[in-house]
Amino acid sequence: MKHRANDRAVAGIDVGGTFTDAVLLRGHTLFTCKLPSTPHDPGIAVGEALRRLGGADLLVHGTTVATNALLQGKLGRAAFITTRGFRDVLAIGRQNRSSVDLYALEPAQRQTLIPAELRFEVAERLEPDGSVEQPLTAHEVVRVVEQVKASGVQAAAVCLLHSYANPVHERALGDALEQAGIAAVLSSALAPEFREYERSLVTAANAGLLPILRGYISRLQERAAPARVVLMHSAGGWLPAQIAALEPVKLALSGPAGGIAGVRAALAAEGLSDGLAFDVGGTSTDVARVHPQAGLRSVTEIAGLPLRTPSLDIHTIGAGGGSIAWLDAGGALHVGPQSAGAEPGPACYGWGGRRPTLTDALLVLGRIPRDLKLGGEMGLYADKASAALRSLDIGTPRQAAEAVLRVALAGVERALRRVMFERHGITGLPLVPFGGAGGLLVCDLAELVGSDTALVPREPGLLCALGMLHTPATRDLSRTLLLRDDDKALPEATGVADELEKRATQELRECGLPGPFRCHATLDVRYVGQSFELSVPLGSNWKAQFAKEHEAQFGFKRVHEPVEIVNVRVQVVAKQHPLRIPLAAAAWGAPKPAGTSGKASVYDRAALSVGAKLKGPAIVTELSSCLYLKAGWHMTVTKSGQLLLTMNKSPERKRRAKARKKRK
Amino acid sequence: MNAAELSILHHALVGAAEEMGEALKRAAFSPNIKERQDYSCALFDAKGRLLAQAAHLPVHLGSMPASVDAVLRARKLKPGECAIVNDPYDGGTHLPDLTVVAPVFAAGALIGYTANRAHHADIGGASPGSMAPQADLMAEGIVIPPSVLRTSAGLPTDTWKFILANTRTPHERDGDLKAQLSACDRGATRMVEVRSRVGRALFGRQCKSLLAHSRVLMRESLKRFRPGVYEADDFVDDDGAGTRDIPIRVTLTVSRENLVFDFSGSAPQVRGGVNAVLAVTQSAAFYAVLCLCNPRPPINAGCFECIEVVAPQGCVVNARRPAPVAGGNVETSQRIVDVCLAALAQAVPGVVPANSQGTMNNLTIGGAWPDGRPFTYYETIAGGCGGGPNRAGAGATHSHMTNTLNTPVEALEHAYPLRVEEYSLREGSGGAGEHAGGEGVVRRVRALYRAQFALLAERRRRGPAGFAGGTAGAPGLDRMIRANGDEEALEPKCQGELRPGDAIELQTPGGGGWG
Repeated sequence: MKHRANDRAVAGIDVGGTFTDAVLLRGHTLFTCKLPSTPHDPGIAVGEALRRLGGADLLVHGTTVATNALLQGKLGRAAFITTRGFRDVLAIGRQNRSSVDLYALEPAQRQTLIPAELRFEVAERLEPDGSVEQPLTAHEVVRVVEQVKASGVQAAAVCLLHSYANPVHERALGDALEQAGIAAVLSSALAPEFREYERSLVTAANAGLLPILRGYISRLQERAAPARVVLMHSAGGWLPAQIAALEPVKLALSGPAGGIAGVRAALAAEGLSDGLAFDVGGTSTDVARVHPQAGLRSVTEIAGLPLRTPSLDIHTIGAGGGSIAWLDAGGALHVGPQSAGAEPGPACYGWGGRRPTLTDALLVLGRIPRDLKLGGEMGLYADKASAALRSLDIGTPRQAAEAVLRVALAGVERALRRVMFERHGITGLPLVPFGGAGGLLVCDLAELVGSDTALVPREPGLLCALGMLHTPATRDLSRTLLLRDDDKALPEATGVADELEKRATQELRECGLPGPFRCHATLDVRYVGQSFELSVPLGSNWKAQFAKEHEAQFGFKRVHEPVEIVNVRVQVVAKQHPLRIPLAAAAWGAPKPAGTSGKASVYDRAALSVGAKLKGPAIVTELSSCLYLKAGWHMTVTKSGQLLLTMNKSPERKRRAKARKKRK
Repeated sequence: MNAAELSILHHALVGAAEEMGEALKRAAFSPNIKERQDYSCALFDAKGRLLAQAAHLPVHLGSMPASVDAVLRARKLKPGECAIVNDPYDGGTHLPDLTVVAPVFAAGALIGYTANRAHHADIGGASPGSMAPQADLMAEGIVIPPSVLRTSAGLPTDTWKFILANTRTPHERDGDLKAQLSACDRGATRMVEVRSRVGRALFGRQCKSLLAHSRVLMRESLKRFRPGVYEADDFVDDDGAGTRDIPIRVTLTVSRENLVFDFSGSAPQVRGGVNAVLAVTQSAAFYAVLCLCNPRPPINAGCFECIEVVAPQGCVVNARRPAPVAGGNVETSQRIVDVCLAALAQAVPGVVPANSQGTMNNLTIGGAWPDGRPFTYYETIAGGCGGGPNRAGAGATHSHMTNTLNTPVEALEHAYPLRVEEYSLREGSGGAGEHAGGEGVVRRVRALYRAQFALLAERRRRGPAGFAGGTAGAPGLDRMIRANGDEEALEPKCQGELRPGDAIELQTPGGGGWG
């Protein structure tokens, strides 16, 4: 069967801290490639991977260049222009100290991104409804642009009070700056939403990232030519290079976005749309709720900076496979946040690490088979893992390992519960591990959060890159309205949504995307006086939807309470033909174990055929990852080649059975 | 109890308290709770001992347990019931802080309590916002002794109606109280889940181990404290009712076993509203000690067993009814921290930074829109943190007992008929030193219509002291700028009227310098 979209060669390349993962779909064949990353210029490995795969027509790329620049505070020099009286908005922030500093004797100084000498004020003022209280004079524009020019910066962030309601003053400044050869980032164009600190910050971050990402993207375009380069953005779609280079702050979560896209595709292949994704890495674990509606949050925190840009709701905690287990002075066991890192690594690597890590515990418990070769090459030292765990002095190595595993799980569970919060009392969502180590914990985590299914995608280690193949171009735009609910509210919001849709569509067209496009428009709504908004689809029943949603989340609604529309959001999606990713050569016959590890039989994933069934305890290994199927669980290889895990007896059923027994 | 169970239970209970906070924040109505996050959430065992508290506001540390205690003494709550309290002399701190307490039952047995406290923007009394200087407690607002707020059938009681009838913004209060109940219910659900996972028989025992664990870590930290007797004192500027330079003295006795903070020698309670109740004083002392703990123990009742706070009845840090207390929680508490840290600095040399701004700069503006709708705006304003042995003090940052966020100017101007004209760093206000103190803040707010304001601020006479040779930060400065341009200096604790076009400007203190 021929599939139209497969005519083009599409590559997905994800750059991680250690490896650069690349996949390429040409015709009906999937090619993969894994190379060491080149941190000094990540584009080198990307270009090399693409070359080895034979080049592509389209390269979808997930990058951590923006993330790392923000984390390390290495941004380009930029100026900041704001309304008179507010030059320190970046330095004041929300005036609080970070919650980790609540009991710190010396709380940390806030990161300002732009130093005081590059922060400028202009005389002008808008009212909250956007009307002009004090006009911005031409003279004032000239004055400040000259000052900015004299400071020698190449980019300037402009964020004036209430500019979300009326961009006229920002545009005047923007035009003058551009004429003076200074790249202008206008808050009213980038993130026209109210709350001046957050809007200023995202505008300033964008200005600081401009020179860095512009250079990176243009070098990458040269290396990847003739492939067209597009970049994954934080909201989970991709952006054409032209737009990404202008709005680099939207790439802040470019890396993990591919993973979520991969999880979404994995769920879709089984006819599912809602799940809990998690990625257990070496030093940290990411968790996210994957859900067709919304699922985006408007603020994402990087390096303690609340960046107001639509992002996937990914929550990160400081515990992963390499996290070190330790006892505090009161005898409580902790896992992380300190990590053995890549050097010396877990004790079982045999590279000199002596302190026990989660990976050592998993090995001692037999979840990782002792004869497993990491990446097909590196052997593991079970005796070193045992010795490290014994040093904790909380029982036999096995008992200690059990304890380490349970503490690590409790931390991930807490994070999962945070992302589950969106819906009051949701249970039963399938868990989807991505990245290498998630499969070792998936059954336990499902049990802990009250779920009885899990789905393990194919090639979990390459899922980020694979996800990119499935990702459409999306353009997310929004604007604050703060409209009280009356007869005019909906028509006005609809008008703005149409305008945003038109702009988004046009921008994507200008980048050479022919369409067709789909548009989702949503409203952020709240009761008047509240300051947390809920998203509902734009439509005539928006108020009823809001009441329903409010009750679902908070357990109550207020029927006669006035509501207000805070923001309008549109997401324009370029329609894409679903890609068919071919199965690896199918295996035949009933599954045959390749060995045993403790009580569990060990299977090679490549040898499992579609429809094959396994009962826990069992282990399924493949090159990039490992799955531990707990006792009490069983597993089926689905038609799409994924592993569907199901608990034999769900807790719900158990409870009912118990209750029945009691009655007797 | 083994090493893993301790951590697992801690994760589960703190996670539950965090979920409560999230539920409260999202469902609440007033900007004070949602934008500024002026609230705390906690879980207690069946005896009312603190099990876990989410990392919210330190000022609620010792005072949340007092609320639960008062409710427990007053009545036995049935399943589904919820109680409320704000009486500073019976479980509360100051009147705007409404604490809701709900029992948690599993299979008919009481297993614990969930509680949350939120600062409401108005709780009646003589002035909008209930934070203005007053002559007695009754003028500050309505006093709610421990009372049932929701029946076991889930219906609001007369207390609820009574509260709404006595506030200027009943609508907002109604929404906020509903959010507080919803948060309690969320915490209760999670607590029942945690218990059923641990096992009915084990849960109680494990909770006890959790407290014991914090006790052990606390004792471990105490080993770094040099035994001895240390003294420190400082002053509250004034009470707004004629008493100036109100001394607060502490004598800290450090032994191997415990810490005793004795406030004998502090001033008698005063006429103006800067009196603190004992729960506030305890919170301040607990906070100061926690700052010096390394490793920091998980916060629960076990942490505080080795800290004793002694204060004579009827003094400014242990006031008697009906002394007014609005500023005790927000202002005097900061001074109590200053003296506690100054005493602790002698027991643990070389780690304590210079004084931070030592005030919360409480500003309340209330009035009505032209169409008659009432509004009450309340907020606390950051200042400079003290420079320390390791780094310069953070500027424009809330310190010690509070950590509330500001109201964004764009949110404020949308919600209230007010305009912010300036919000900037107060240049040159930080004390000098090898590590300078952080800068204070300038915030100027103009009223569009006639309104009343109240100011409650400290460190207007003496700036926050420097340490180790650093100089003091600049004291705060407040003024009124009339519509016609006339300026008037304002007393640090005052109230008055704003006519259309009048502005009020606060310049908050800078932190002290270090070295």
